[in-house]
Amino acid sequence: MKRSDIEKLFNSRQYSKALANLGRDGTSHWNDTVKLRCLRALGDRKQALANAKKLLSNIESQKTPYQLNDKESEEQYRFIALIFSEFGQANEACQIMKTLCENNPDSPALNREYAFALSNDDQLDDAEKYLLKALSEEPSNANTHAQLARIYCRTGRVNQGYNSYSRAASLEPNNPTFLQRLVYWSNYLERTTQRSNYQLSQLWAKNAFPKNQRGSNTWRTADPDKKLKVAFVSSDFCAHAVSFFIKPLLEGLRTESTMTVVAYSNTKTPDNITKEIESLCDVWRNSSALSDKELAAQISADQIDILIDLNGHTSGNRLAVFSKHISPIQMTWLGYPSTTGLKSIAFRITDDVADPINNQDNFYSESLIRLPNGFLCFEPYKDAPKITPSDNQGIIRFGSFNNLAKISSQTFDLWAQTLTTVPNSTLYLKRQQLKHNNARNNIIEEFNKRGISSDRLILKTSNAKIEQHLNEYNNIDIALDTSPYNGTTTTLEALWMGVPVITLSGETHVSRVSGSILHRLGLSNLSCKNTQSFANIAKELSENEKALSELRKNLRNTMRNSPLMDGNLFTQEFSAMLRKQWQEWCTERNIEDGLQAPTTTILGASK
Amino acid sequence: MSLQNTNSHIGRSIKKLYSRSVRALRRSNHKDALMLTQEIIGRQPDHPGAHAVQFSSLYKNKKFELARLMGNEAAKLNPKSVFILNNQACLELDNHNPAPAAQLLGSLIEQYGERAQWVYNLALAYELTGKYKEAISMYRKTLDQDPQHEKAARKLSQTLLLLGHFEEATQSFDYWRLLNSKSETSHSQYIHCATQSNNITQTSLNLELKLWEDRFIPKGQRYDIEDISTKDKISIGFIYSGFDYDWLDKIVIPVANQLSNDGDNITFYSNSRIESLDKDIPIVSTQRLTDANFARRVREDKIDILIDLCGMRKGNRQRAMGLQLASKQYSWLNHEGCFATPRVSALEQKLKQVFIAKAENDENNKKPWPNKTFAGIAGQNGLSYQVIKAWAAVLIKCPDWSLIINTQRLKSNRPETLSIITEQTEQLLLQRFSAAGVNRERISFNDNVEFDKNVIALDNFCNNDPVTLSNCLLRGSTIVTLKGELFPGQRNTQLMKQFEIQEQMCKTPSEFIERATALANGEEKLSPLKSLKKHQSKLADIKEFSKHFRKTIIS
Repeated sequence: MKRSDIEKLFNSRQYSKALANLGRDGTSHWNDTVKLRCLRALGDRKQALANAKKLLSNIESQKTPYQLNDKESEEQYRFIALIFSEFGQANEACQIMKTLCENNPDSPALNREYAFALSNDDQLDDAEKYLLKALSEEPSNANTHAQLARIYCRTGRVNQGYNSYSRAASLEPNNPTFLQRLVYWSNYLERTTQRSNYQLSQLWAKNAFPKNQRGSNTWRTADPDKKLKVAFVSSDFCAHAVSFFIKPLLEGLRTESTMTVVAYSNTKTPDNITKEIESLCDVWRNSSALSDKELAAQISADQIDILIDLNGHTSGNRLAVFSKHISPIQMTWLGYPSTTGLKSIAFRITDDVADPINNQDNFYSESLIRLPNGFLCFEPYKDAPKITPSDNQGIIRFGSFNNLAKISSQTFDLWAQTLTTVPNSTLYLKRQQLKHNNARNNIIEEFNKRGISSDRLILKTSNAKIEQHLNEYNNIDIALDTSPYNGTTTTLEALWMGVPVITLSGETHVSRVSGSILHRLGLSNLSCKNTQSFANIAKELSENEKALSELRKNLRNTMRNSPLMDGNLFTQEFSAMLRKQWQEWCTERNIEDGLQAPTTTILGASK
Repeated sequence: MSLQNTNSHIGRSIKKLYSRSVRALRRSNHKDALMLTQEIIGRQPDHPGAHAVQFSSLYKNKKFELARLMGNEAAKLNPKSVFILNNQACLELDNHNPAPAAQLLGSLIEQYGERAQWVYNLALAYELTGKYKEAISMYRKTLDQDPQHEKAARKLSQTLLLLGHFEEATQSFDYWRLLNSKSETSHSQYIHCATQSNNITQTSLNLELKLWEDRFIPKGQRYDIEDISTKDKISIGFIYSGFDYDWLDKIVIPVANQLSNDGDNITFYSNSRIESLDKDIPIVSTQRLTDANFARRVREDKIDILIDLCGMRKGNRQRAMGLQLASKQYSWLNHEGCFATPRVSALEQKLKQVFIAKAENDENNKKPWPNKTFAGIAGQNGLSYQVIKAWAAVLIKCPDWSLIINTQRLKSNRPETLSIITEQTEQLLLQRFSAAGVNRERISFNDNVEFDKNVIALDNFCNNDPVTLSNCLLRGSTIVTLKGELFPGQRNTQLMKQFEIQEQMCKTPSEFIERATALANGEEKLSPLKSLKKHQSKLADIKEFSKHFRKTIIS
């Protein structure tokens, strides 16, 4: 097959065909490069790495069956480094890119790619340095801005990250990926309102899917009592927070004879939890290698009645699939704390504490369904350590194990005010990213601005194992929540370890999740409205040793007996909600049936 | 022929005429459509259809003034015509008649619900009538309906900024540039707003400016400029845009007038009038000049030294300056501290000295400063959240104290509009203080605060006002200030250095709060400036300063 034909196959995403038609002996530079490109696109980690290593060794020992000029050689090195970076051998990638950068220090592309390797090797400080260098040479490269944004966000400087994504999006206004990153990260900013987030989400939807509209797939029998096919789509069926919440529901739904549960897993790196979740589903489909189009076709073929998205705008999402009306009812739940902006997703599942009934509903493209006992059901880690608080030696130990990106300026205000109000106290922060100097320095500097010296801060990188991680709660007396982006799993873990969590409840869903959790436990008194109240609650609690000790002793039981961990109740409410929506759809469908032939129709505004 | 028959004949003939007029309109044969409808109206003055066709014909034929004149009647007779109501409203807006426009649009929205363009037009009508809050709300609604409505995003940003909603304006400018990313204005206004409100870090600001230079300053093009040939008489151009701020009157104009008196050629390039400039100094109106034409004009004027007073604000000429229009190019006072082009540098760094014309307060009518009251030095319009947060923290720690905010009122040839803006900005500030836990009753406003030695003044450390600061210090008040993170918050640094009191600057917001509290509680003594006269004479010596200024800009 001619080169041009193979390129065509590659460009039309027919990677396997392209690969099959390549010359097998690797007799040209082009041949080797295309082979790597195909393997990368197919996500074939093993083969891609094996080929990259072989090629690297050939180039280094000058054993390639073809002559390479400097440019071609550099090109191959860069591609090999990219494969190494993406498939878990970033350290080797760094070595290759370092040499290339040393030979050509002013090349923005090399600096950017070196930064990519460094970033994947978790050397974020150096990656940042090289990205800034790349931008000084090439200030209008959207990808470089986006890479920098990612590092800023990972190291707790979300405002800067957001600004960088904004520059990337303004450089490539027709690229919805950058806009989607803006939508996602806007949830972390305290200046974001539900309205502004909705506006951005809508803008993204208009860019990414201009024809997206409210409607439904009507090619389904409108039988209100049929056995429903309910499907969940997620990239997080693995050791990820989403799994902790989906498991109790799936366990409950197993016993429901009125539903068939299907899972479309886009999980790139399956683990034991993936297996557990798989065993809880009636049908399991690994869709990680499927394109959006292929997945849409698969879902259509499976005749799913209710399709539930668990990603929203988080990475690995399949909103492109949801942008079409593949299933009669499409919903979003759990994985993302705001609107998707897609009119084709009719519902979003929440509760009346996280989303109180008010005019904010207008700023969701979905209609909100409020579950009566909370939108979450928690299953704690089975082998969680015992609650054995260590001696605090008279010093109140505040703590937060939340993602650094959630530590906004407002959070710094809350925590600094708390530390000022409770002078005899420290703040313990634990997170993997704290190993990076830029992340640590940012935290120290922000506290310093607020009059809190660094000797009151304990900054630790996280432990690898979950038991150790949970055990660290024994060294905390009171957990402080982040705002506006509340902790969810972190809040629940702290509570499970008997540590009370103080939260500031804001106006958006993302800033009310901990409030919703505390409400279910009868601890709404730990949720407040302003900085001073936050600090006052912390002070009162820290002065009341008895109350603290009672909480410590009883919280786990309180949780066990609350709706938060009542899987049966949650399943009942969830399945009743699904059935109700299905019945309403059937009624509406039957009315429409009398009016027109089945086709994709616009449903009456259910908002 | 009976009367009934006559009427029916006329009726038939009107119907025919009307059908012909509609056909003519559809064929864009506006001349015929007008003639036919005129004939119908002559026979039946209240014929709704004829009025509608006539209006549409005039409108589509771009005879806007005629359309507007007859539009109200057409709208009255056709109260359900979307086309007439909306377009008549637009014509009224164009003619600066916002009240009838708002009425028409209100009726339209009431009948048919909200549509992005109608809501946007209504917002424009509100803005023109000074109902800024309503305008903001309508611009937002427009974007709810149509998130890609670029004009609404721009107007929303500008209105928010006007009223001092700095953070919201920054966010809105950011959104606007997503919609109009090819426009240099969308980027520069975002940069300006974010910097003024300290909503961007220095690193991000540098990246923004680099990007701006890369995208908007033509590459490989620059004028060949010779060095300044004679130093006896030089041509100095000042670039200015916007309202008349205090610093223009107190700093720039005295210097420009003095240099002109001393024999240099001074030219102002401005998009607005400048009242207090000497009459023999020419003001070149730049409002309608493109950047290229502006560049040509400056070159024709043979300007040796160009001094920019805009930074990245609206109406800036950074693109033109990127072409090197003059031998030396500086930016002074109202900039971001770093520039989109390396061909401009900050004048402050070279000057190392500040001049501010002496304040002319009437000492005889001076009222005593009220007890237990802080003076707050605000910026031109409002305060950013960070400043409010710090001031509110001080007030919470000193519960018996109140605050008089010295608002620097803007001057304009539209004083009524400005008074509405000022009032609404003040309301906004009160709301924000209230949200920060400070009762509204503890805050008041005064555009001419009488500083004296008993005053403890709280500075706006995000966007400095050196004129008020010097006035405050020279009157013996004690200032609590903090070096800001970006240039707009660092302008006072130089002044404090000149007053030899730099060590009094706080380093962090928490230190700022502690110091203000300690001063209020008497734990720290007030620290009036020593040797006031020496400072006053040095600071306000225009002859001395202009010599220094001239020498510096030439060197």
